[in-house]
Amino acid sequence: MALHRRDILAGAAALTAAAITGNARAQVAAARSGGILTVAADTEPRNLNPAMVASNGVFYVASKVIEPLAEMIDGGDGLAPRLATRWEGSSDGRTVTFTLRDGVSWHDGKPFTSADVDFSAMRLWKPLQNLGRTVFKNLEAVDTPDARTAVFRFSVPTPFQLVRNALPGLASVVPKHLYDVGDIATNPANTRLVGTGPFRFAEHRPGEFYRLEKNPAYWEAGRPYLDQIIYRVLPDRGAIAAALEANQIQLAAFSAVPLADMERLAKVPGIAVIPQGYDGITYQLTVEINHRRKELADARVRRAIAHAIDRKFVVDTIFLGYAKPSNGPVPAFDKQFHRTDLPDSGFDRRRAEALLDEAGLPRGGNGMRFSVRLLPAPWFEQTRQFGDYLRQALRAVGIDAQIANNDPAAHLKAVYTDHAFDLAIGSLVYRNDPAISTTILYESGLPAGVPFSNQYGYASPAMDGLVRRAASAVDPAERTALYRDMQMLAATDLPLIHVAEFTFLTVARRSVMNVANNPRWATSHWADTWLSA
Amino acid sequence: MTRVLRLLALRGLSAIPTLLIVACGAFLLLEFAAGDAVDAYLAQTGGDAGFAAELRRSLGLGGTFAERLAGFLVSLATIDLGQSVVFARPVASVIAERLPNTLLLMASTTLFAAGFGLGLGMLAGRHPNSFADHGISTAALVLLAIPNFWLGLLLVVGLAVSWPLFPVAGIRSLIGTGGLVGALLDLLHHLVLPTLALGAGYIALYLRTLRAGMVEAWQSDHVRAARARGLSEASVLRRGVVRPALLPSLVVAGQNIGTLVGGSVVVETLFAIPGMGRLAFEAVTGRDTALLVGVVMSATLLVLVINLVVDLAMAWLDPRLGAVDG
Amino acid sequence: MGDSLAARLLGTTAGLAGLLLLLAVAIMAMTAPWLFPADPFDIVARPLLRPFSQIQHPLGTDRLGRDLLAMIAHGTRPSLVTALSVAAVALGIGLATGALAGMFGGLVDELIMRLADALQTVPPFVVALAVVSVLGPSLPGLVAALSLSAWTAPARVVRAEVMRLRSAAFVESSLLLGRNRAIVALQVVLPNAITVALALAAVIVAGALLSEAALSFLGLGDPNRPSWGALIAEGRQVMRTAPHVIIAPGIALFLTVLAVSLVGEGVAKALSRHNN
Repeated sequence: MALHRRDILAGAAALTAAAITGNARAQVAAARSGGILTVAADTEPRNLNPAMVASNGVFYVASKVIEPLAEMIDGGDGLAPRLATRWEGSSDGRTVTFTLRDGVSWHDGKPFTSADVDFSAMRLWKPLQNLGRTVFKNLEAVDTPDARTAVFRFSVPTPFQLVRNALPGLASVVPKHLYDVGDIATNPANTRLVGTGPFRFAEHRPGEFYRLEKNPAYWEAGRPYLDQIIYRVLPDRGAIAAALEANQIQLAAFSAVPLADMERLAKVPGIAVIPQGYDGITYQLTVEINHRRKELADARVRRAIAHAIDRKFVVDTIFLGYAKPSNGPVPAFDKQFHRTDLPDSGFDRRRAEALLDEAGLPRGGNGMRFSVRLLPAPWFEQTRQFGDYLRQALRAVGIDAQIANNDPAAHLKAVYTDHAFDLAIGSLVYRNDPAISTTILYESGLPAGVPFSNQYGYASPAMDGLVRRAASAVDPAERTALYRDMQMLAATDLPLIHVAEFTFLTVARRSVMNVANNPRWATSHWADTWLSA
Repeated sequence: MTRVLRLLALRGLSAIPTLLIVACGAFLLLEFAAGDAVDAYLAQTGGDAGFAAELRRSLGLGGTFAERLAGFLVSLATIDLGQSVVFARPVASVIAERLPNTLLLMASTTLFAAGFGLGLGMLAGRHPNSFADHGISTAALVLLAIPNFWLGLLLVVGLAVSWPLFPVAGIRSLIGTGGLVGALLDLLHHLVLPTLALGAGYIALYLRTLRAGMVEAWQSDHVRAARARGLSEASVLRRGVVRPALLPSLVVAGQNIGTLVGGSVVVETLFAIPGMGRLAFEAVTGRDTALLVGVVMSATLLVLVINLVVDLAMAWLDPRLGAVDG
Repeated sequence: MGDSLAARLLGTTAGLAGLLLLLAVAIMAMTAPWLFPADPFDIVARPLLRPFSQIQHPLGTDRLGRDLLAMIAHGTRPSLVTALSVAAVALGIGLATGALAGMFGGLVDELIMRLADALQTVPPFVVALAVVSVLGPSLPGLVAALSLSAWTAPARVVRAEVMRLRSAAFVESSLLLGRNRAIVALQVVLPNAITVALALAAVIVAGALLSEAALSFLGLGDPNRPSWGALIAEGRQVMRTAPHVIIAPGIALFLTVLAVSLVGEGVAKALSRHNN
C-alpha cells in the first residue's frame, strides 16, 4: 500500500516538476494556444458570485472569470499579485493600502478601477459574504484617492496578517457598474458572471454544462492559452472516472473520482493522478462532540475516544494514503502557525478502556458502557466511511454507537441548530488563518444555527481569552504565539478530535499542462493551463 | 364524439382533487423535514447567524407554518408554481428544461420494451407450452427479477468502460455533432444504455400480457370460425388475434407509467441524465418546496394525461368498451 | 383452497423451483446470526480481498475489509422483513378497503376509489423516496412509504370480486334472510376475495424487495444494518477495481426476487387450475 502510494506521489511529483520547470521554456517554445478543456463538475451552485459565496464549488468555475486581489503561490511570502500589485498594512492595524493593476478592463469593456474594489468590499464582502462577514466586520470604509489606489480603513485594529491571508479566498472583485442597480442578491450577474479574468462566462445549461471562453482582451499578454473550458456536470463519481477513462473529459479536480479507483487510474496510459495543488484548501476530518451529553463532557472520555481511533488505518484504508494523521486544529502545511509538539493521542485501546473505567463508565451487561448517536456528515464519501469505521472502533472499547445518516440540510440542522447528536463526523476547511474558520470552532457564546462553529456546548474561559486576544493582536509575532497557545489548549482539552487532514487529488489526462502549479490550483485562474497536441 | 368530450370533462374534473392531494402532500412533507432550504444552502457555504437569518428572510422562509401554508395555498389557487430556491429561477422553466429528457427516456423505454415484449409474446403465445414458450416465459421471469440499478451498473462497466461502445453518462454530447441527423443519432446513442437498464423489466410485462391475450384469442370462437372458413394464417393473426391481444398491452402501458417515472429516478441518477427524476431528488435534498410541488404535480399530470390517451386509444380500438364508465 | 392449492403449487415447475430457492434464502436469513456470530461490520481482513482467495472470506471483502458474505447473509433478513411487512400491510389495507368499497358502494366506494386513484397516479417510488428521505430509514417508515401505493392493487381486485359476489345468488339470499351485511361480508365474501388477493402478494413482495434495495442504493437505507442495496452502492465506487463488491450482493437480490416471482407464478397457475 505504502509502496504504491509513494510511487504515485513520486510519479506525480516528477510530472508537476517537469510541468513547472518546463513552464519557463514552455512560454517561449512549447506552450500551445488553443483547444477546449473539458472538466468534470459535480455541483451547480445557485449563486456563482465568489464575492458573495466564498466556497470551493463556486471558485472552481468562477475563479477563471472573476479575479481576487491576490493569489496564493508556493514559496516566497505565499502571495502573488492579481488585481492588486502591492499591499501594505499600517503598524496600528487600522489601514491597509492596495495599489491596483493598470490597464485592466471588465469583460464588457468598461475599465476596472478602485471604485470597483470599494464597492465589492463595502457592499458584498463585508455585509453579504459567508466568510467576509467575519474578517471584514470592522471595515469602516474604503478610500479611493485615485483610480489605482484603495485604502481599507478599519474601526478597530485588524491584523494585517489576517487581511493578507484572506486575500486569495475572500477578496474577489465584481464590477460596480453592474451591481449598482437593484438588489445585489438577485442580480443576474450572480449567475451570468462578468469579471476581469482570463475567461468570459459564455453559457450555462443547467444539469449539463458550463462553458467559459477565452477573454481576448486579458491584461496578461498572450494568456490564456485555452480557447474554452467546459465544465461537464457529472454528479456521480463513478461516472466521472469512466468518462475520464473514455477521454470524454480531460480533468477531474477535488478528488471527484473515487479514491479506490486512483491506483488503477494512475496506471491507465495517458492519465496522471496529481496530489499537489490543494494545500491552500486543506480539509480536516474531525469528530465533533456534544459536551451537553454528560459522559462526553468529561475530558477523559474524549481522550479515550481519541485513543480508540487508529489514525494509520484511517489514512491508509479510508484515504488510501492520500491524507496525513492529525492531532490539532492547524494543518502541517501552515508553517506560520502549526505546532509539532502537541500531545499525541495515539491508537491505544487499553489506555482508552482504562480512561473510560476511570471516568466511572464500566462495561455493562451487554458489554457496552454507554451508547451514542453518531452522525457522519454527508459531505464526502470518506466522512461516511469514517463513520462506519468509528462505529466499530468505539464498539471495541465498549461504546455502542448508532449511526444516523442525514442529507446535508438535516445534518446541518441536527448538529448546528438542534444539537441533536452525541458525536458527529465533520470535514472542516482550514482557510489559511485560524481567525477565518478555526477559532469559531472553539469560542463559546455563539448563537445556535451557525454552521461549522462551536455548537458543541464547549465553554472554556481560557480558550475564549486566547481567541479574543489573538483577534486584535496586530503584531504578527504576538498573534502567532497566541494561536500556538490555543493549539496546545485545544489538544489537551480535546473539545473536538482531529483525526486526519486531507487535500484533494486531481486526475487529468497527461495532455493537460501546468496542472497543480499553485496551492489553490483548482480554484485559481488557469490562465497558464494549456493542452499539448 | 360527445362520448370523448364527456370522458375528457370527467377526467379533467377528477384530476383536480388528485392534484390537490399530491401538492399538499409534497408541501407537508418538506414542512416536516429536518432542515429547510437555508440549511441545505449553508451546507455548501457556511456563514454566521445573521447570514442565515438574512437568507431566510429573502427566501420567504421566515414566517410561521400558517404563513407559509397560506402562501402555498395562494400560489396553488393562482396556479403559480413560483420560484425554485435551489435554481434561483421560476419552477416552470426548470421543469420545462428537464421534462423533455424524462419524456425521451420514457418513450424510448416504452417503445423498446413494447417492441421486444410484443414480438416475443407473439412467439410464445402462438404455440402455448411449446419449448419456445417455456424458454421465453422463463426469460421473462428473469428479466423481471433483475434490479434496474444493478443492470445499469453492469451495462456501464461492460459496454461503456471496458468496451467503450456507448457513452458513460449524459443525454447528449457537449460539442455539436453536425446537423439534425447527427444530433438525433447522438441522442439515440446516449439513450441506449439507460433504455436497456430501465426497459428490461418491462419487456417481461408486455410479453406476458400479449402471450396471455394471444393464447385466449387463438382459442376464441371467432378465430376458430375464421380458420375454419379457410382464412390465411396471417390475416387471422392480424385481425382476430393481435388486435384484441393488443388491448391489454395498452392497459399495461397505462398502468406502468407511474412505476416508469419512479424507475427513471434511479436510472437518471445512474446515467447523470438531467430529467424529472433527478430533479425530484434535488428538490428534496435542497428542501425546495416550490420545486418539489411542481415536479410531483407535473409527474402526476403526466400520468393522468397518458392514462387518458390510453383510454381514448382503447375506445378507438375497441368501440364495444364503454370507455366512460370503465 | 388449503391442501389442494399447496399441492398444486408444488406441482408446477415454477412454484417448486421458487419454493426451493425461497427456502434457501429463508435459511440464509435465519442462520446468519449463527453462522456469522460476530458483528458483520467488523473489519476482519485486508480491504478489497478477491472472492475465493481466502477460505475464511469466500466472497472477499469490501472497501474497509469487512467480510462480504457475512454482510450479505446478515442483509437477507432486513430485506425479507421489509418486503413481507409491506405485503402484509398492503394486503391488509387492500382487503379491508376493497371489501368496504365493494360491500357498501356509494359514497364509501367513491371516496376509497378516488383515494386509490390519487395514490396510484403518484409515482410510487418517488413517494417512497421523498418519505424516507424525510422520515429517515426506520422500518415502519420504509414499510409505510412502500405500502402507500401498494395497497391500491389488492383493493381494486378485492372490490371487483366482492361486487361480483355480492350479486351472486347465495349472498343475495343470505341478505334476504336478514343477516347483517358486515357478517355476510366477513363470512362469505372475504375468503373468496383473499384467494384472489394472494396472487398479488408475490408481485408486491418482489416490488418491495427491489424498491427497498433501490432506496438503500441511493443512500437512504439504515446504516446500522447490512443491506444489499447499500453494498452495491458502495461497490460502485470500486466497480472497476473490485467488481465483486457489486456483483455478489446483486446476485443475492436477483435470486431472492426471482424466487418470489417464481412462487407467484406458481400460485397463479395453481389458482387458475383450482378455479377451473
